Amino acid sequence: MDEIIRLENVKKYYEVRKGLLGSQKLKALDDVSLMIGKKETVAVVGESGCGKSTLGRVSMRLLEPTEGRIYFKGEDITRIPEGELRRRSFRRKMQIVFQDPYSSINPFMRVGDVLLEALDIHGFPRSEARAKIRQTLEDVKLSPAEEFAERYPHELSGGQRQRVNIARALILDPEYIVADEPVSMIDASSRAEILLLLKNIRDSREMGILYITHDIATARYISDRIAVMYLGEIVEAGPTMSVLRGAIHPYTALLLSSVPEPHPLGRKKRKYVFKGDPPSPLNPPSGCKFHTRCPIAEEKCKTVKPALVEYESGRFVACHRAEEIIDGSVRLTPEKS
Amino acid sequence: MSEEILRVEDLRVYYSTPKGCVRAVDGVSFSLHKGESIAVVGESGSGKTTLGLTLMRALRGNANIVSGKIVLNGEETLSLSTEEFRKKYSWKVISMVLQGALNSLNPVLKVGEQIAEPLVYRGGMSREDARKMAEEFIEMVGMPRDFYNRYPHELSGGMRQRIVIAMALVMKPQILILDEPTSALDVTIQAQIINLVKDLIDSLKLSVIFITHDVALASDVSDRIAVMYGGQIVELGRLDQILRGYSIHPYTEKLLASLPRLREDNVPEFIPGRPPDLTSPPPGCRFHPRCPYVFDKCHVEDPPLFRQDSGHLVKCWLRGK
Repeated sequence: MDEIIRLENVKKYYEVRKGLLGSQKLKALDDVSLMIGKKETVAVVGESGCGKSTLGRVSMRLLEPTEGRIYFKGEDITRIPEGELRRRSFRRKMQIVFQDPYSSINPFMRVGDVLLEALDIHGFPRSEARAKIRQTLEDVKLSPAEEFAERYPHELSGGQRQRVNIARALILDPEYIVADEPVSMIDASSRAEILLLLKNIRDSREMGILYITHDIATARYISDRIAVMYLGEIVEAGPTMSVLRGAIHPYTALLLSSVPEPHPLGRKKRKYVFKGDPPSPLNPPSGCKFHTRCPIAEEKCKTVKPALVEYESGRFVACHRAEEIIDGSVRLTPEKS
Repeated sequence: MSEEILRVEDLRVYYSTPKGCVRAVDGVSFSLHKGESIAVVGESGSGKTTLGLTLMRALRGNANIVSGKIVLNGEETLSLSTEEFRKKYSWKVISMVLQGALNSLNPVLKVGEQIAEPLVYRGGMSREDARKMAEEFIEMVGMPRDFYNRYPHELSGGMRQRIVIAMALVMKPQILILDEPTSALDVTIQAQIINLVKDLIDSLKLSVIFITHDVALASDVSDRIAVMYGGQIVELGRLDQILRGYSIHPYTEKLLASLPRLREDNVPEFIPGRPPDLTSPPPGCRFHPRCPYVFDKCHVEDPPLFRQDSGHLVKCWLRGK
């Protein structure tokens, strides 16, 4: 597969002030490696504070990594200065769709002008801009395009605004898009439309998409591969269906069992849950960061950090007990709480 | 069926806004029984939160209760002044966990004091007794008693949500309204809170109105589901009647079809168009501009809630004449 984006051992640390003089390191990304290919959607799932949004931003150099390498189509772009990133169109080729369609569009600009601004910034000739805007609006199903181009954001529904956001990214013909929770603020009845759109553009435009979400059910629908993050690390990754059908890492299993689904007998059943809250990323547990909530943690897990190991082709898991889970000698029965 | 504890009849609540009159709740009727849990499911702007706030008589100044009845334990309460209602019913008979309440705890008061406060000021309890009672409630919602002395910033989101639930329960109400109690929480914590709510319903024999945009979540806690669209209940039925998917309202059908499922193969669908503008809702059935089964009658005449088998109500011309 042609590679679009590759992250190698990327770390992103923040200095957080503590008290008057002290400071502490917050490891938002702690040694993360990930590849996204052409015509591929990779979903990064995890709870708030796990580092998934930081990962998205670092991958397109909206944030500078503390350590590690970022490759765009094989070229190391980690240290390329901003001016050169622009001049050589890297900025144009990497676009982001933000979560909140209400605050990410200038309320005083017409939809057409929002798109025109994006073209202007990247020096697209004005003479062709109109046709390009019309085509892109049609592509995101905002048609008739002429009519939508004249509208202001407040005249649009949440789902339509999010399509404007996607159009603003698409109009620059990017090769890589980071979609950061693009449907979490959209009503259920419009969500599927946005997901379908993202799925279609991946294929028709031969892009790589990084889909960041806390909602695994949507990841199942649009992603080819999935990476599960916990406290700044990838704990499990692999082909989406393989991970969802047979989670190996106890945290993945917990996440999956927590997702509610409409069920006629739902009221009668208690959900299986793991005790406790995610620890603070400022003060993560030693060893395996999940050991404080893990029902099968052993002594070793408290002290030794498990490496991300490939068990089957493409299936990566960071867990000391992965082999026992795979061969069935240890079963994950979350505690009742 | 057990005793009826709350009955709402043809309730209409309109907001006056610069854009005109917003008919947020427009002819809603349902009843709630002792120990029963009803989920009110709808998308943003469907009127579900306004319904909850009306039941608590906690509406904002620009809202008017235009008509209807709210009968609590046999007494019609809309004829009471807000003052009278609050004295007699608020928190003691009916209480509510507001959306986002976990982020509106007083940051400079210990959480225990915030739970104990109404016991002293409204229940006339001594501080000593109120403290003991608050500690009991902290334990009941799954935390150690000494969390009484913690401040909100020392607690995680899930813990703060537990505190807020304890606050709503401390005056021992019969009815608890929960408005999107988990929307600010991560899914693993959401599961913990849902289990807590289930336990409380069972152990305290609470009647619950669970307001949510998430049908899946609704099916986890409720005996019956009321689906709201454009300020009206378009379908009301037992969980199995709604989810088994026969003779249901087209909106419910499409809403269920729009959910991406984690455990089965489906291609989520979407509903074209957008929810009605409640300053000038469409004539006839409010769902007709988006309905795939629309026919002539739907454009002009608003359907009533047609009774299907055993108490299942559907507001659609396909389901009655």
